[in-house]
Amino acid sequence: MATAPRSRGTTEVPFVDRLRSIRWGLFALLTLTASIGVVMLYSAAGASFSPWAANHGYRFFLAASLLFFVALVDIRIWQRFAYAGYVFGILGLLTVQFFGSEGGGAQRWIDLGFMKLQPSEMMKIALIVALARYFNGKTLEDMGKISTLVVPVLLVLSPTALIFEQPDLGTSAMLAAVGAIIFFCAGVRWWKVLLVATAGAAIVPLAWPFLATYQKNRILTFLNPENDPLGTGYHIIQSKIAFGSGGLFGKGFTQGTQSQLSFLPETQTDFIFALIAEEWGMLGALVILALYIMIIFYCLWVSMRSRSQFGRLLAVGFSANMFFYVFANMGMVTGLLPVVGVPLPLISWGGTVMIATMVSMGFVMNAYIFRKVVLGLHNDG
Amino acid sequence: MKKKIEVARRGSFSRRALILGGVQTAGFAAIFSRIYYLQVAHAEKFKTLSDENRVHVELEPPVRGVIFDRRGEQLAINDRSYSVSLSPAGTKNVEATVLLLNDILDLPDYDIERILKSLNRFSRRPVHIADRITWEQVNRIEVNSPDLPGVSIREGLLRRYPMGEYMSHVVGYVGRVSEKDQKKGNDPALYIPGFRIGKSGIERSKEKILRGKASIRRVEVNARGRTVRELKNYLGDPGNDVHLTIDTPLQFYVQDRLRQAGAASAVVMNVHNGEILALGSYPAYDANDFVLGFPQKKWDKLVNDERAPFRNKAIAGAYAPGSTFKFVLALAALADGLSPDWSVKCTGHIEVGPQRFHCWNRYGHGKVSMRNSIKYSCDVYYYELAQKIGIKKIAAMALKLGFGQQHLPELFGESSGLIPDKEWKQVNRDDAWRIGDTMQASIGQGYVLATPVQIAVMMSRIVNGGWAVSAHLLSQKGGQIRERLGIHENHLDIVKDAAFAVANEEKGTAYAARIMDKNLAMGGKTGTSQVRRITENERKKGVLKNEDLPWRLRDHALFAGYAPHRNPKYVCSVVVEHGGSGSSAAAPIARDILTATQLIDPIGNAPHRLPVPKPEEIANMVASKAEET
Repeated sequence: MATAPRSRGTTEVPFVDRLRSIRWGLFALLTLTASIGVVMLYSAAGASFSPWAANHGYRFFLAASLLFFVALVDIRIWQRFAYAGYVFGILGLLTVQFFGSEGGGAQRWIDLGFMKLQPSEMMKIALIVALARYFNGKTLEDMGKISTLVVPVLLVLSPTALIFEQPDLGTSAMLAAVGAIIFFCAGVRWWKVLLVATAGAAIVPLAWPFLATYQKNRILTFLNPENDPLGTGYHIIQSKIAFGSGGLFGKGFTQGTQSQLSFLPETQTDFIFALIAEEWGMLGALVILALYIMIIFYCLWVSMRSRSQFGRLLAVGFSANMFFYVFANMGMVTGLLPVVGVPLPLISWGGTVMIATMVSMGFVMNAYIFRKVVLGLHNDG
Repeated sequence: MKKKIEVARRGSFSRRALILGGVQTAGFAAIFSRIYYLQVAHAEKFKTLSDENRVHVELEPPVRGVIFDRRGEQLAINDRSYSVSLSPAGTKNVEATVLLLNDILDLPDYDIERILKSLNRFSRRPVHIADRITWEQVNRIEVNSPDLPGVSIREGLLRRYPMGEYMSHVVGYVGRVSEKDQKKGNDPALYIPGFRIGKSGIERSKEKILRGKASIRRVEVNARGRTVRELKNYLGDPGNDVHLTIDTPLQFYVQDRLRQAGAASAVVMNVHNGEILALGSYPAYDANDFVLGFPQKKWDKLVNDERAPFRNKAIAGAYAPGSTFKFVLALAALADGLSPDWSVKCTGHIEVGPQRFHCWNRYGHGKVSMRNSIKYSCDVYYYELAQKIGIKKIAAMALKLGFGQQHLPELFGESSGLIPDKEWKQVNRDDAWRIGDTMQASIGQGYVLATPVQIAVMMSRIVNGGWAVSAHLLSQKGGQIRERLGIHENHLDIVKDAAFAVANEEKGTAYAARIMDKNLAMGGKTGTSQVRRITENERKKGVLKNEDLPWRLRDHALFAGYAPHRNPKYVCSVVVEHGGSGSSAAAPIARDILTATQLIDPIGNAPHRLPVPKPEEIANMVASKAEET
């Protein structure tokens, strides 16, 4: 009785098979996206490989090797170290809280000397892995019990609160959202999903007094950017102008006046999508959008191929994470959402996000490579 | 068991993952529609906004035309000057920069206020700080440039009036462009910081000719306002020059001569074509002060001067013409068929109904013919004459001779004067015309008003043989007058002969002010116009003398003269405000001006080429002529 599923599943995946299972299509999509990042960073620097474009390329190779490392390590090892990773992530956040450097008005970085590490990005990965491990051990029946949900809710809320404290509204909101998606896919009852959604909507006005002034300003500015055209509203207005003036086919590579003449400053980070849209027009914007759609749905497809709940939740969690990145960034740049400092993965300049993204995709690929490995309800650890 | 659990879990997961995929698709659809909204539906709007961001239009002011007198003397020119402006985009602390600049430039307080007001952080437009700064100030700004971010020095042209207050009433001045000018003007040049346009005189009336067209430089700038590259240029046109009929040496003489009278104006005109050779109005102001800004003390003094230095009295002063108006009545009567031999016995006054009308000579002139009525300026003669012909014919002749109309529309603020008649009084005073009104009008009092230019035009039309000249200031070719007034030449000769008697025969009212040199002899008519009413009570006690009255209540002194008598070339009209009698206050000025005019002879053939006589030389020449006997 216990052998039947085992006959269809496997326990060991030989290294050669692991290599054969690498999803080169997904990797090609990632490489293509990062290459566009290199090209656009070249333009953002005023047709120069320094200081961003060349480094972006090197970082991609470093991050790609991490991706393969994560992908090829046995999925059970990741399962085993899931909680340890989570604790490690929390420690990172606490370190930032007490020793972090201030960047952009918030404590977000740990300066490692050779690079600045953003523990909140690492925390997100650790949370997804930890939640996947937790729910892997729960049957659908278990999911109906409130007691089952206490531990994972705490798993989500503690880092969310810590990141909110930094303060980083965008990342903490994304963390909570990704957590919610994993809960949903793990099979939480519908009525609870709806209850939490309603409660979440009700909390928004209650949370208002707890927001920092700059966060309030961002939201007010989002509602009416023309209120303060040279202050908080400046970025949104100039970004929309850059976007709209690109038209169908754009102003041409390195010819975007909004960014090249600094009307839209700092395009190498969060507003790089506006630069793409200005120089390549709607054509370029839609190509980028299509790339991300393919990556996200690829992850979703992988999640449905896995035989283990752990693998499924890993893939769906990272798919959702990628979706939130892209949606928040594009929504912000086009003036659809408030300005929250969310970069465009693989294209925006920034080391942590590049590494976090590639590691995430490593886990997705890992879930595919080990799709046939069945992880029992109680064999965790 | 385990399998069942796993199958259920996987099925649940797949369903929910698909739902998640659907939600994500909706999110992408939202992003896509937003991209479409920005890049297709509203692309044009954002393209415009993007261009407004990056393209700056820089305007280079056109070179303003020069104003010349009839000799080619420059009356309004352009000087090289350095001006300072401040670009708010270039400096972080605007106030500190302005205060530091003030240490170097020593700006007036109202200027600092203006500058700080127009500098706000929302504007990238540079603000004009000061003009015509000295070379030393330029150097100090250059040396301190690290502490003066956003401050730039620009070499430009600034209007200057070399003749100062001698020409300001004619040439006028330029001033800063107001918001109203910008709305009205529709010329990009009006938006150049520090640009100036004509605000008065010829500068204003010939603005279109003088201004020219600004050259336009379109440049691409970055967010800090720095020029990145040039886009498209439009080369402007300099303004055109304007040539006036004014003769500078004569104008200087006239202005100096009027100074001795306190508050006066004078017009010198060519009788044949109406060219204005001199247009004096004293006191005057220095037009350069309007360009550079008045020192406060000077401004207060001018504004509070009761002699109205800013008013061009030669065109804007409307006075009762007094006895100079008697030419009009004489010609109207002659045209009506009255014999020049018709005479009146003057007893010093006449009674018309219950009212008594006085002659200026309370003892009377005895029996007076037309010639003597002009020579003595007998009022009673004209009371009688006016009753015979009536106001209608008087008004018609006045209009024919140039009263009641403008002659120099090229100068702003010209008065039309006033020639009243029955309809005018009905409409404007809502009252019937009475015989008393005719009596007043017959001696150029009451409602009648005339400007010095109109009086000069009248005198010209009488002595040039009845040609319909008008006055003008702009030299133009082929200015021959072809239209006649339709006044019988004999009548004009009768009047002109009487005018000669005024200034050349004993008992003539201007005999004391005659020109001794027979070749230069002038003729003319004195006028003394009351600005107050003399009551019967005062007449009984004795009319107050002018010297005993406050300045504002004294009579205006007038004279309308021409010269030389034999073949008149020049006309001169003089009005001395509150100067007393025409014979003692106005006639001597007219005599000197006409002497000077004939000596300079600006319309003669040769003198154009002669070196410009100096004012003292002219004064000496006039004085030596007066001593000749």
